[in-house]
Amino acid sequence: MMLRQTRDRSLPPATGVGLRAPHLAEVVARRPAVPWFEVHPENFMGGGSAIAALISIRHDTQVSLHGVGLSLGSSEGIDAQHLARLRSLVLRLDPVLVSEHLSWSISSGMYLNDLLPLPYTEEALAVVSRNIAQAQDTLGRRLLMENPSRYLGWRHSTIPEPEFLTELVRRTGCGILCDVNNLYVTEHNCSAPAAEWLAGVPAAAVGEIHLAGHARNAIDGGEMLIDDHGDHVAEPVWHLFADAARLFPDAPALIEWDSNIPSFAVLAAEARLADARRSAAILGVAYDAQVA
Amino acid sequence: MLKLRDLQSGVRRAVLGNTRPEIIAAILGGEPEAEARLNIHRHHVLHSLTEALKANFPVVCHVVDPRFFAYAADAFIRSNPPTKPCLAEYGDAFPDFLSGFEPARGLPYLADLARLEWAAVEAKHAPDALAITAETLQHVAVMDYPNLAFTLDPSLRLLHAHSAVQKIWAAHQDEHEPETIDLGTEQAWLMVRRREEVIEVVSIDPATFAFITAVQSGRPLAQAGEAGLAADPFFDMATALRRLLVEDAFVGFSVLSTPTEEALEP
Repeated sequence: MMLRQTRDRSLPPATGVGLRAPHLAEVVARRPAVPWFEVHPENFMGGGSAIAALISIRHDTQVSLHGVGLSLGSSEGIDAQHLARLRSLVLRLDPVLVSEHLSWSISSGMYLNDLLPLPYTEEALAVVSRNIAQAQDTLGRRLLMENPSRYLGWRHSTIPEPEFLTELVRRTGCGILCDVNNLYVTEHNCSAPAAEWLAGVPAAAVGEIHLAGHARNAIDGGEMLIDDHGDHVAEPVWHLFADAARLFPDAPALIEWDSNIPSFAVLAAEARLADARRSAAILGVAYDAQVA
Repeated sequence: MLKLRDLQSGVRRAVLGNTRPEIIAAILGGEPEAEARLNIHRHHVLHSLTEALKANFPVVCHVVDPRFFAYAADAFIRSNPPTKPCLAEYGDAFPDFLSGFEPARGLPYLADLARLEWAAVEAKHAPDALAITAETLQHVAVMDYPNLAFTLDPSLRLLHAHSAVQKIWAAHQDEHEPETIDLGTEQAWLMVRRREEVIEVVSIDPATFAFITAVQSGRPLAQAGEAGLAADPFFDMATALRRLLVEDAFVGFSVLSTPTEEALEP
């Protein structure tokens, strides 16, 4: 392993907000009191007003970069040009966290804009480890790897996801981003128990928790949960969050909302709700919406 | 066992075109269920990329029937999927695709309108650069003027359209959009720029267009002036130059050492 920052700068375990294009101007103008923001780096790689706005926000608020385009699961390796653009953004913003997904989106140089599911095999483990190591060495930063929402399973998968992630941490020194909505969606769609996942990953490696809403779609007589980030956090996901908050007390949480995007005030309120839920979970008391 | 590379190219083909049986067979569950599960990804890919095209080509999307746009976008995505993860940069081939798209043959302006929108996208994402002022040029000796090569504002784009598509574009920026727009039959020579974070589209004369095109390709003033004169014998380079300078279109310059005496001769 090459030289890299061994410890992430710490964020207070207060809940941040995923910052999206519709709120950028408002956040620049009104500077709402949010402990930290997270953005998709792919939206800030050009010039113009977006990156200028983000740099001005970064002056007084910590920013985390949550990539969706590195395709760390691609067998053909990672796009060096995209990695270089990510590196220059990391140098410009000095983000408090840098994260990506345990998935793939590029095949034969074509980018499919989806977090496509990997088979959990020894071959995939070697590919993802190699790609993470290359990305971490180039960026000079530790990556947090997020568990994806899954809609299908591969017959030839042999390694349970928490074991796969544990092995990635061991081989590359990366961390884990625990998305509790994805855990819930995947448990429902692919019968992968969320409780086993939470108990199966190394707690010390979990550096962030994601929260979001999902949709329910009727498919062929059954029902699939779709991770559309288009609603409030669902009640069963809050319960998983309480478990995650107890297991990973130092990991800050983040609210993501990407479709049917509401006003910024709704996002900020959801983040405060997450703080209240976290406190209740860590203190070991049942969260009571009436009292809160 | 399916190798990872084969699985990934199989899923890519399944999402953009044909599904091979070995991909369905590799997915847990029976055949219709596996197909339905894969379809969630196919739908997400096509839907999200269509949204990306809508975001980059809002006026094209607005002037055609939504079903027509979805149809064109679907065909384009399958034949020209993105090659980069930045979707703000997706669609550079869409204008050319539209010009060859058989169902769009009755809308001859559509491809030019898309070209104009793409120029606006590029202008929006171009790097920032500080303009030079007339004072900066005071130190250049008059005899060196023919050898001056200017660097243009990186957001500046030039577009020669076969109809007045800027009228459609301008109407769409306005809240009170007119019902009908007369495109006429005249061609348009357009300059697109980002100024103060606002996209500007201005119509210029063909000689100024030829002049700026030459400047943009790095030609010194003497040769750029020739290009303007070739388009219009009454082209006045001094006026064009002053206008570009006043409008902050130059961000740098150099004096080329190559002799251009030949170009200066009438």
